[in-house]
Amino acid sequence: MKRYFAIYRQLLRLNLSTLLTYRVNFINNVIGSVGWGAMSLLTVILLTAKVTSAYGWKREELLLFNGIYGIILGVFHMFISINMSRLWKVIHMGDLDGILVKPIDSQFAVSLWWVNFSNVFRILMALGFTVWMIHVLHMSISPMHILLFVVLAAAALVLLYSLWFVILTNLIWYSNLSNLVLFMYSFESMARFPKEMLAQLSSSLFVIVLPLALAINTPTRALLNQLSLPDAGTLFALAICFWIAARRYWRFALHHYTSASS
Amino acid sequence: MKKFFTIFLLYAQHALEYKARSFVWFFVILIDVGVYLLYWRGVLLGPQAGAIWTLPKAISYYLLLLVAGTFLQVHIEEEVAFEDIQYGRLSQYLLRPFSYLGFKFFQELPWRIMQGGFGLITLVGISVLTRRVEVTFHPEMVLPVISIILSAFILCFFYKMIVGIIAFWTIDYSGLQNIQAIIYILFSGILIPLHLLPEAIRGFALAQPIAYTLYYPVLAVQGVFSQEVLWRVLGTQWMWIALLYGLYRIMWIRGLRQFTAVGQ
Repeated sequence: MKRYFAIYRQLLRLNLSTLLTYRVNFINNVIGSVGWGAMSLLTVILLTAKVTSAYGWKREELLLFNGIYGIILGVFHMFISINMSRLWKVIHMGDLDGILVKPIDSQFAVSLWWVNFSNVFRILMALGFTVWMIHVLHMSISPMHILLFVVLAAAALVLLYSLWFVILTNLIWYSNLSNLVLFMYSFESMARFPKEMLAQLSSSLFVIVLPLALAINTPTRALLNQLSLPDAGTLFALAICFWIAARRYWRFALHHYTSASS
Repeated sequence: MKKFFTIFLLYAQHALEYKARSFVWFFVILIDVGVYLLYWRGVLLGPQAGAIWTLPKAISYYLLLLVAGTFLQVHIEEEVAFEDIQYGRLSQYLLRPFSYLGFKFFQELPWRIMQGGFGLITLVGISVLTRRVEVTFHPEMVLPVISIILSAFILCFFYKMIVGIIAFWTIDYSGLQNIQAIIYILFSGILIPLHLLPEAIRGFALAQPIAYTLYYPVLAVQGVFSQEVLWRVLGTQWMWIALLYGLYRIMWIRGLRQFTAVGQ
């Protein structure tokens, strides 16, 4: 474990060097990530422009919800999804060969090699928006609320990562499906709506989107002082189950990897 | 024309071989449409029902948007920017005895037909099994509506080609691609029907060319417009097509001078 922390520290250093070398690329990426962050907030601002409430949530609460979505997803996109976006190329072009012969865990290498520092701005923007919405809603937030939020957000990140990884592991068999990543971005965007809305789906569909429904809802409810213990318990249980599933499925899939340009 | 028909057939084989990719694209749009529809269902079944929009209209709008999004929304820009310009594959096209623009058009067409087919099957399935979707059936409307749909495809194609060839002047295209995607979602009517946008941006949103690629075709099929308005929409579409084609030609001629032919 200690060795992996040391490796990750080196990777962070390398990513920082890349950022300083290709500064225009970094500015370009900042524009992109801030743009998507703003778009996510704008989506709800526009959808609720003429609406006072939806599914029992006031407009301001929905906006707060999306601010929190921006923070959690910002962290996810900074450390995880940048690597997931490259996974199809790593597999399709045979770069996975090089990773498999390295003396480190292949899942660690394909999941955490790159860091998208440009997302710091997206996170800061979402954080500012969330603080503003907390002020608008006259909410009083105690350190306990924040601690609970951070713990639940960490569980949500593990769940999101595992969910993405399970689905993208299928690229080992279908490496030409480069747009599977776009599908995941689209799928994940369902998390920015309240659980009550997704619960309108038929029960079989709701089971599929339940991890997403819980990922942002549960930490938000912790801040709103409306946390339900079954929801928190389900979030932790799903995070652990999906994590184990992701790990096992990746190892199983590697047995079917047929090397370069598979 | 025979050459282009051959290109179309070749890429039709391609689209059929990689139909799973088309299916994933279809799902991307299906999720967006499904989520917004679910949101409006909650709003329009509540106390605010009728004041903003009605549920049957919202259902028709988003289901037709599903077909329009799969059939009319061209995805050529990424290939033009990354594969052709940044990796230098454009040199191959420049040496061939047909226009690059024509090649890309007939390369994209089979993919759109395939994905549009998925959308159409879904729409018909929903109409038959659960709810009839509001569409216009007046015989005098059929010609302008079909013309608007075909023109929307051509307009979207030129728009995306322009976005793609901006890569002649950039080293890293990804930031621009993100911005373009955001603008398209916002101003095409995917996120919210443009007439429901706040007043401050509604006028602009309804006048700009992206609205004519999805929003107007969907409303035309829904039967919202009178015959006179339909012809006016068609006229405006062709005005935008002419302007975008002119812009494309200027950018293409200047961009080729920038192109180093070995990738950037």
